[in-house]
Amino acid sequence: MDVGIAARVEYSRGPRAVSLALSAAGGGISVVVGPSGSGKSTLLRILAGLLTPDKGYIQVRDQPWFDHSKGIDLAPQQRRVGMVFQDYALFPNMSALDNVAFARRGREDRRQARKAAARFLAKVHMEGLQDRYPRELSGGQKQRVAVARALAREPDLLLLDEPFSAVDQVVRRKLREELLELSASLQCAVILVTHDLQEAAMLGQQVGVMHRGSLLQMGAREEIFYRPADVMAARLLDMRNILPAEVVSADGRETVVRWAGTLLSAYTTQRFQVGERIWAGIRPEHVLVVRRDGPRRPNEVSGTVSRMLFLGGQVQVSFQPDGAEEEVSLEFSEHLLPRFQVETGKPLRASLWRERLHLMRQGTDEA
Amino acid sequence: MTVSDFTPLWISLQLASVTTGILLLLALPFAYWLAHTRSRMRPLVEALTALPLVLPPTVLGFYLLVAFGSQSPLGKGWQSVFGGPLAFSFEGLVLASCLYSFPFAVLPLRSAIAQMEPELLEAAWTLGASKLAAFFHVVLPNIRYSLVTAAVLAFAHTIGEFGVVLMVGGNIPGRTQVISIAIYDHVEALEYGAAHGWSALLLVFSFLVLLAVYAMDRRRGQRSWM
Repeated sequence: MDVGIAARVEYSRGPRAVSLALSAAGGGISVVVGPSGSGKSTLLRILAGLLTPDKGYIQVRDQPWFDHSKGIDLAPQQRRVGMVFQDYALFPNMSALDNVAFARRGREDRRQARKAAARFLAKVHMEGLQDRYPRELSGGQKQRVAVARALAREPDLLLLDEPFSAVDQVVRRKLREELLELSASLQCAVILVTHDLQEAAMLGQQVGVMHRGSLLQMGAREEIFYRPADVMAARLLDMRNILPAEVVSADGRETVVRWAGTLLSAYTTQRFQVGERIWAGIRPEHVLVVRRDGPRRPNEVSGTVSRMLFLGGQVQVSFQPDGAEEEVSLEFSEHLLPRFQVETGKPLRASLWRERLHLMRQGTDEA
Repeated sequence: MTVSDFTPLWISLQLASVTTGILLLLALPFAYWLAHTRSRMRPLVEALTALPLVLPPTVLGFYLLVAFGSQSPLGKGWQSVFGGPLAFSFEGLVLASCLYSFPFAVLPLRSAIAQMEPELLEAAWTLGASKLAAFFHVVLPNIRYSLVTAAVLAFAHTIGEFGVVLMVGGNIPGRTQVISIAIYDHVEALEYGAAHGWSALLLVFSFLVLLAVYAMDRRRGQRSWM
């Protein structure tokens, strides 16, 4: 039996129209990432049954939850869905334990429900705080209760709407690690939406990029971050180095392009025409600094450092390659600084890592 | 000369209690609907609801008197079912008071329900609670203070009404003569002592009610009413 979700929905009422197809397997987190207003929350509300799409279907664990053509539309109460809301939506009139036990109503008697609730609270490390009311809990603790409550429903689909946006950074890191650990023990499909790319990279076994109500691309995390489908997706994923290039040669394995007079080679199975104008993209962490006295490297460019930014352990360097209009951004660990002698205004040699240089077409939607 | 006959007090209390009870039952679902509806009729319904706040009580009373009269369909219907007239009866007073105090019960409830995070209800639904169960377990407990405010205000406002009662209920001692009418009567008869007694009672009562409402608001750090 398939424990995942398959859905294709069209929804045009409300402030953000959503039209997309999505599938997620059971176990592991699928992250839908996109800027605010891209329709992520609307998507979750549709899946939970809080909004009714105009068309399409939603199938979870081989069960139809919604099917426009067959007139099926299960109410939220009938869908086994666990939802963690952005502000957690804990019931202020109930203790943490009663909040969680609420998910067990109608399934078992009150005593058993509270017992089960205590078990779920223990899962999220909230033992000892179960009698506290939401107003007596910190942001991180509220989030844990909200997750426990959603899990207590024993859902076939777990939905998390920006679950870390309301806590500070230190707590956020901890909660993310805990969620990752917790998700490994879950059978059901888990869909988390966020605008945070780092969060998507950290949590998403599968990542989907959402923009203006549609999914530009969905796939394995590496696929999405290293090989975005088009320039639009690359920009949304903050690829940063997106260089206009012209195809010089292509043999189905290695493609050589010319950018700013420099020949760059990329390993790709994608087919491009010689002479075609495309884009070469590479993430800053995949642009490698070359020692000043080192031998020449593949895809090497040289230029002048224009800016340096220190990001706590990492250095972000912008440099202007000779003869190019675009700046190239690269990132490396701070401890490498003395070895490579990188300084603002000084020359720099860098290599665009061939295995990670990604070639792509413009795409349909221009930002 | 002081207050010797306490009947007007009992009638006032009875009228206010019955009215408050009926109003809470009606106002709760109505306020819920008002807070959540996206109907285009909402402004119209809101305006109608708030009308008794600005209308001279005599206007409301006059129309109610006409509607309750033995020539009107309502009056006729009432007469045929209950065997007595609606106008100048305690029942007529209750009906009139319900209309007159309606906004005082609805407005606090509506604002409390509207202030509730909508996600609370959605959370309850996704957790399997029916709409009714969500209403009782999530909405009601979270608007309990406003429920008290609504009850207290409706009660106090009904105790204090005069114009509508005079028009619809008349001044029948032992049946429709409430405190405010009794005061009017005493003043007409130049019995200032008795008028003083009743007036002081209403003054203190009204002040205490408002004090209680505002003190409750202060404890919650929230305005539930004006």
